[in-house]
Amino acid sequence: MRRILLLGLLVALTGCGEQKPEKKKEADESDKKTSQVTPPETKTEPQTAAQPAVTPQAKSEVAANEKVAEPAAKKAAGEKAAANKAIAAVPVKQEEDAQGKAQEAPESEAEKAPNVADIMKRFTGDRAAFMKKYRAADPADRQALVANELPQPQPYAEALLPLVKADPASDETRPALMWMLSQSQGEPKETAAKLLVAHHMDSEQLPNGLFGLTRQPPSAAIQTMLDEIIANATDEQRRLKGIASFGKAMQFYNGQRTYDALKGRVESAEKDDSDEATLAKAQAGLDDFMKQLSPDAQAYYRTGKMADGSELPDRLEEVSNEFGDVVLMERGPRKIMLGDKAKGTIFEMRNLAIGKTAPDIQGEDLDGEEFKLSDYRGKVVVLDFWGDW
Amino acid sequence: MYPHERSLVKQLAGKPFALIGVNSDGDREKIRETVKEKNITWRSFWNGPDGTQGPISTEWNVSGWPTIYVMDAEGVIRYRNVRGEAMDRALETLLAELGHEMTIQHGDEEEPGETSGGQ
Repeated sequence: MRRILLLGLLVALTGCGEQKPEKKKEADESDKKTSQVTPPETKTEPQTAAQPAVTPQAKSEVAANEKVAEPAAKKAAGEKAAANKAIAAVPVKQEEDAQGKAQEAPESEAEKAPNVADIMKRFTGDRAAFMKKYRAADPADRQALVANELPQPQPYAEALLPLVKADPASDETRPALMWMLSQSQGEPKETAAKLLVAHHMDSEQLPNGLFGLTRQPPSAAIQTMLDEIIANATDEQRRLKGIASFGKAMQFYNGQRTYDALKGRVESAEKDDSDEATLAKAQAGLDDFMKQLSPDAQAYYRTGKMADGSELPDRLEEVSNEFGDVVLMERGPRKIMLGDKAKGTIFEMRNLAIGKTAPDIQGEDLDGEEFKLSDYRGKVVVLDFWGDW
Repeated sequence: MYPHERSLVKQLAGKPFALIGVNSDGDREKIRETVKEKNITWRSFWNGPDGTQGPISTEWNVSGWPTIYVMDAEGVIRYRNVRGEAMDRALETLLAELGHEMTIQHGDEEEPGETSGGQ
């Protein structure tokens, strides 16, 4: 059980910036639902904590591989494995390229201080090297390997900090800022948020980057940034404003899983009469998560309501009423509209929460015979959304 | 997944319990064959030819598979996404509420030739 929680935490902390968020959601959910850490080669774990699929360079490549409908993406283990290979292959290649260049370059060039791109490449390369080692390792040793050797983004983000401050407005800096915003904590994250608002409001990439942040918990740094974007967006930046408003509300919904997992860990440590160290560790995990959240988010997870007493589905509905026609993202010919996406989540929050009476389902079984979910009243019912893929 | 489900269905035969699927395979003929081959004895709604984009999973806002809801005898949602032993404990709790105290043995019912769960 602890392993799932660790995994959930890692996923929450290392969620991606500029990527296809629907894909990520699926990954989050399978992380949550799978009872053990699974190596990235298997089909049920598109993105485990151990996977280096978190760098902008790798992501743009992966995105190309993943422009497929959800069912197809889940269907073939072979395809999944191929996508995983692509993730690993890209950074490895870059690492080799970087080494090759360094060898060819004159000495003065080689000794030059690293720029933003160099540091991003170094992270990608280090993650790729880790993955090589991970794949080669005995499966029994892999969990320890992840815990001890997986390169963490924070030191790289700290190394980026002076460089992005020195050149905040350039096109090379923007992806680094998005990456720092989604991957790091503390000063690098807060600085990235400020610099993005100050210098990149006009970037065509910013709305997509913001959509990627929808999966992250409602940290103070990102929520504040979204507030500023909403306050400062011009009429021409309506899509940006809509996605920022949507993301602001959706972060509350998406952070719930992590909160529930951490809270559950504390509760089970209390219930099981675990030793004090286990309980203290669980409590520290929950405290660390809560500490980074915006005041509104802290109130929401403690009480189920926003600080001003409003309800999350009502807030999301307001956003949907105002920005329902905003295109969240395009997947091939399919446009995903904000209103459609919000509608499902609002319905889920209002009708599918624990304690609600399940909405009835009326439909055909696999033999074409009509039946209803409510036919089974009086029985304990497990409803399993499944597919044979 | 199938082996655990088979085990539950077998152990809870005769109890007030039902496992209901919502199948999101777009090809109904193909899934009917699979159901026969893999001895899937429980009933499923079919989510229609659009597969994962079908009407039932869309209404229930499902974006990851499998997604699991557990309802009590009144139809109230009591658990979401419990699996393995957590599901066994959840079912024990809900069955006990109906006066059926029991211990579910966590286990998998493998079909001959089956290596692991299909989901």
